[in-house]
Amino acid sequence: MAMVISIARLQLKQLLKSPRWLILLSIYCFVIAIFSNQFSFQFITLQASNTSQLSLSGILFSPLDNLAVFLLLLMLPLIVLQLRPSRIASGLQRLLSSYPVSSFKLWLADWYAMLVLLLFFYAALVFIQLPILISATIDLPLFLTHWLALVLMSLSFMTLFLLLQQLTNSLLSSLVIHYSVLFLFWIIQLLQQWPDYFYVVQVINLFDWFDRLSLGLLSAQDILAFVIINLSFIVLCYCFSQQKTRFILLTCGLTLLLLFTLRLFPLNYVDTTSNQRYSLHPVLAEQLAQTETIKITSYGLDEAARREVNLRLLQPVLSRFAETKITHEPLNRQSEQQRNSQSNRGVLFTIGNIPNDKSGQRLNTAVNQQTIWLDYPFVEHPQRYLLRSLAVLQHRNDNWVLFVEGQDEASISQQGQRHLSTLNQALQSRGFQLSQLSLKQAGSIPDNTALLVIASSRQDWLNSASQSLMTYLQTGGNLLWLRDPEDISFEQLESYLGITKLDGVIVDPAGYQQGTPHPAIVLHDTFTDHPINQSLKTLVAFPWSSALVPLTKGTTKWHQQTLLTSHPNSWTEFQPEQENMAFNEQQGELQGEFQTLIALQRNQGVRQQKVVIAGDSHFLSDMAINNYDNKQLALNIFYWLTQTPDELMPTLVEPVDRYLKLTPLAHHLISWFIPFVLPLLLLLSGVILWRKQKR
Amino acid sequence: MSLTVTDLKFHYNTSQHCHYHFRLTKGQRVGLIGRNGAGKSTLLKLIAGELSAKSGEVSINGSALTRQPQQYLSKLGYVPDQFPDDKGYRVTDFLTLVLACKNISRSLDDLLADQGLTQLNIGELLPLSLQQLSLGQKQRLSLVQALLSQPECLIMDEPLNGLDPTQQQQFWQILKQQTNNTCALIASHHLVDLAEHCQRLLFIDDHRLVLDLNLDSIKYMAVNTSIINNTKINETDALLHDKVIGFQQEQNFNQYLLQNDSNILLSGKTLTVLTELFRYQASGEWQW
Repeated sequence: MAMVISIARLQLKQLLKSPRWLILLSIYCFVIAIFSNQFSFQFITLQASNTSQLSLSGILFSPLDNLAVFLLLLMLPLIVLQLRPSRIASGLQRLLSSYPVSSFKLWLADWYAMLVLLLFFYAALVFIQLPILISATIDLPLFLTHWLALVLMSLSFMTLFLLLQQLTNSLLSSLVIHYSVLFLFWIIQLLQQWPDYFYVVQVINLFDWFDRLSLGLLSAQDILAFVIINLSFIVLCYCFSQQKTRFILLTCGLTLLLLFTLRLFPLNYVDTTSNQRYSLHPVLAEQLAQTETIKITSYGLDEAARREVNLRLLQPVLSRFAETKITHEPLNRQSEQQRNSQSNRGVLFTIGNIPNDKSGQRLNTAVNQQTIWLDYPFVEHPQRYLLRSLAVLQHRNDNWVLFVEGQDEASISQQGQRHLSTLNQALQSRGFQLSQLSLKQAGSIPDNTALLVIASSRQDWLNSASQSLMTYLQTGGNLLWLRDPEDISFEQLESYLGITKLDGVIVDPAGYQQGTPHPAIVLHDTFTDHPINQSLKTLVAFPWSSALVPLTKGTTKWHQQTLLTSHPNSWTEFQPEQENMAFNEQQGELQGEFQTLIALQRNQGVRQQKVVIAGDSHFLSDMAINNYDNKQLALNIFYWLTQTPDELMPTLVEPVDRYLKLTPLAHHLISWFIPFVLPLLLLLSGVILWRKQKR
Repeated sequence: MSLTVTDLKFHYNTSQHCHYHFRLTKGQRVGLIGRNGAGKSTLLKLIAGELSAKSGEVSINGSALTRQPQQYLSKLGYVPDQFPDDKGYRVTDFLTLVLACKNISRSLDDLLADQGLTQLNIGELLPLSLQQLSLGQKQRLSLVQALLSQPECLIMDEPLNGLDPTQQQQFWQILKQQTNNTCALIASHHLVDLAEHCQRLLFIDDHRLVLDLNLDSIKYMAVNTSIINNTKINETDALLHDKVIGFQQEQNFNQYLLQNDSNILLSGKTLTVLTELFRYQASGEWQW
């Protein structure tokens, strides 16, 4: 062993003196530092938007570590080329073969040297991440699991490349073989899309073993697989050096057998994420335990999507309910449910026999087969989404969402720019019971109304209708009032709720600069802390909205909370049809930050009454609901207003690493020193070394 | 201490084969002679373990290359025909690598001093990279790396290439010092030097050993133009070969000339005959 280490030390010295290595390291540092810079500032932006479930590990460390693995896989063939192939080209290997050192010992020396060299790459990665590491709280178990994945993966490929060197004596063919093998692994990864047909291939797919670890799922199987693969590479190299063909075949066979055996065991992993994001939530587990059958069908998911669904929903469910039936359907075999839905990708959750939460009895046979549709990509954690839908299903017998009609409101039964048919489908697929209610005909609002929606009344209300509405509100009914600039002035309701609207359409020049097709589309990118704003990730767009203002501040019993406001330089435009709009103070237009979404709450006996007033109905219309995060905002409003029992909703555990505040020094390091100065210094060292050697 | 080559066979391809069988004894310096492409380097590579023989065995003092390769190679010093020119390696790094590979724990300076290798002036080469060395400097370094482990058998392929006359003298001087307890096999085209400094010459042609001359026992030579049958020459005086006859005694040589006058192609003192022989061979007028 002493001999091997002595030789390894010399090999390492040669590698470190090589300008190629320094140049590769500088490229590696540059790419990772640039992405680190991007990810950090993206995280800070998202953090400012108060996006929940944000984590440094998800936004920054995991992508950076994956990028590091990717770069290492590309660079390792170029580095290992400086070992045996380079020695062969210079004639040194030939001379070494006449020395009393076996080729396997030389290989081991190369392996040690490369191992130490990899440490430099790891150190560079840590150095790049250092400003973030000292500026934020780290989810340490997850961080360490990421590193474990990175080390195991890079080590495996390094050993593989060193093994492949034994197959050829030429520099060029060595390079070709290395990259061909990488390409082969990529093909294997692609074949994963058909797991039923290429089951055998999955076993040797290193990326597959790496995936779970890189997400923070620590399993003995994955670690063992890497150990087996690495050991088999080392044994194979020994067999190659001793020219033991029979043992080569035996080793390959044994390795495959062991990997197959590992696959046979059920996958058990430890979720190292601080908020247990890949584990089955106890509340959901409790809910599902009451159902007799669970069937999950995914539609139109590609491999990446299926992987995410698998990790966040299927595996957690399977780990607890092993008899769950899971099928994956390709895109062209859509279910009726799916065709009705706006999205064509998602997961259909079918469950049997949900108990009615009030009576404690099971639902009758006619309704015991329940389906819940989850759109992909998920806008919030699928388990939370599922739980919400389950809660809605359990209450739906005596809970209706009624849309007021009769005063020229936007309709859920009609399609069109103003209407809400898409919203209707989205809500129905999530278990809501929807209907339209004409107060002129009905006379009163039914008692089992969970929520009343007024989607922009363009005609005056009859007194009797107004009276019914006021009675409904006085008895604790929930209301969603969508207002448009063209709305009638409903003074009675305005004064009851204490909120009115300003004349004119809000014009948002900042949103227009960001790329909206019209300045009258207000973009919201800052979300206050409220359940309705939870899980909003990007922007929300309000087309042709009006500004809301409190009527008599402090006199109302309602607790008001502003959910969305326009940009500070927006104004209320009186002539939005004009081509060149400009703020005109003389006409009475107002400029500033306007409220566009307000939540009201008050206690009515034992229950809480909730009202949401939006300065816009268009954001829910067929035209705009699928833009940005509008749909998610709509769903959040309906979930909040229909009072999904809080005790059923899982408490969202926030990741420990969700805050990043960069110190001025860390800011400088991330902005320019690490991305530019450090790689430049390395590059210069490489060039100087290269010129020195050339001379 | 001896190098034994036993029925060593190697196949270049389906039509070209080689077959060698000989033994070198302790203290013997043996020259290996043959024209270009005769198979000298191949033979040395087979002995050095660079190439694997199809059958047969090479051993040094009982340690066989196939059975105890590490023991065998630790007794061997090899000067290859082409020295590595890795630009990344400085001479000092290279020699450290040699020491590591040969598992020698002593320092380089001590070794050079102890083994009388200081006259090769390796010290001046230490800071240079292998690629910066001239051919002569590489040969000196190659000799040093082969001698560092005090081998029991030295195998050298064209060691005199690139050495100036003074360095050639130094080379032979060092070799004589080293080979008191070592056998050496030296492939070279420097016939005069080999004849002067070696005790024995091995001639190879077309990948086989065609002549094995013990220069200590041969002073004169006669080369016959035809196959000699029923010769009455004393077998102790001559190496049995179908065309070349060597003589220790001038009297026996003269008698042979008288008897075979019409069949004699070349005759005279050993070195003169060998030189002529190679001239004939080079011009294609004569083949082994």
